[in-house]
Amino acid sequence: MKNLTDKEFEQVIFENQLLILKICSIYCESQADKDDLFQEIMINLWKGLRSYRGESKLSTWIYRVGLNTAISGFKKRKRSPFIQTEELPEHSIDPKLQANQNEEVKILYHAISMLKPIDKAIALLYLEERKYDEIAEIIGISEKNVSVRIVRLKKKLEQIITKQLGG
Amino acid sequence: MEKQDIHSIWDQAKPAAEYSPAQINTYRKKQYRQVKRSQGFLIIFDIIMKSIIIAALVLLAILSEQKDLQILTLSIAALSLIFLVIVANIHSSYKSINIGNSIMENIKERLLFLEGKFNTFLIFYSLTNFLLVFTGFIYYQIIKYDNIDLVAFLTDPFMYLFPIVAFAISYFSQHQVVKQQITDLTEAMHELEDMDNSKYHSYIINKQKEKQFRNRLIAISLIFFGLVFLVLILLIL
Repeated sequence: MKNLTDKEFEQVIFENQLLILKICSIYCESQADKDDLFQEIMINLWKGLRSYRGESKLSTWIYRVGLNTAISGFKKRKRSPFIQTEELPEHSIDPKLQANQNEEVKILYHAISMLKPIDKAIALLYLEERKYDEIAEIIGISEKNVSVRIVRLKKKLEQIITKQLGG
Repeated sequence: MEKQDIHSIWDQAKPAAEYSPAQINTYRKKQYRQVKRSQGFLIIFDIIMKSIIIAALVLLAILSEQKDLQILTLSIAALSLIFLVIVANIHSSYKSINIGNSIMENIKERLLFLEGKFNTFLIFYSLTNFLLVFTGFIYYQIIKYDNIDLVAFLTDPFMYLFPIVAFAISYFSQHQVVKQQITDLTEAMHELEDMDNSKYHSYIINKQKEKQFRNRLIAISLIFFGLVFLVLILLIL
């Protein structure tokens, strides 16, 4: 990809922030951690954008960078002696939106939180309705394995949700 | 519950935070905070510390009129320079990890790096603390007594005790952090292998680990024999 200006990069992030925020939501529990991860993903995107050659779709690449950051890099921060917790900008938290999320959504997030890191990634991509070939490309496994895994994951998630809803 | 239900629930889920372009700009500029937490920061920090130690030792050699002290400080500076080159090489390996690769590829690359070169780096990183305390002692002696009785200095166990403690604290604390990361990544790798029905990646990683272990042993032996050789030369002088 051509060298983006700061403004162009900010626009790319702005347009794709929902995608990044969803990654943060499934890998982090506290808002502080979500903000921290969002920042880390953004910086990795900024650093990596120069090496992005456009071989895959931009969204696929953003998923890869985001999920790799969440899976490979997130835990180390919590345990690192160099940890520095940063105060978040007040306006980054919207309590109204949090309050509006209904019980089903909370249960779904809870169900996803019980999955292992790679399963979380597959669940997210499935829920975001990405095609199987794209999921395979992001995860690095075959399409066949993706479909098998999704069937198992759906079953697992449905069981947890049904149990939680008392169905 | 039908497929449609999960998707419809997910569609209602809205992330709790949204960022304006201005906030994104602020975050991007604060990247030093993220850098501070990374392994890359540790490596850069070590390169800076080693450079400072080398400069301090060379300065001491220039200012000192004691020939044996000049030989000691320049020898340690040369040794530190070799360590610095090795660490710089490790940094280039760290930079070559491509975060835009697939998750499987990225975990594999990170595991190889952490198990191999980063583990070796921890030895050199902890040696910096050893050298820092050791150099500090030399400076202390020079400032306090104007010159230094090298034989008495090098045969005093306390001159080694504190640097060794500094080395051990640094090594074991960092090693614990890395060990946890390796455990987490190995679990993720096994999760992927369960999906892929293949142990191929673990096999490759184990082979690489064996190779890195051999390299690490060679590095430790070189450091040890280098230091013993240095002390022997100084005692002969």
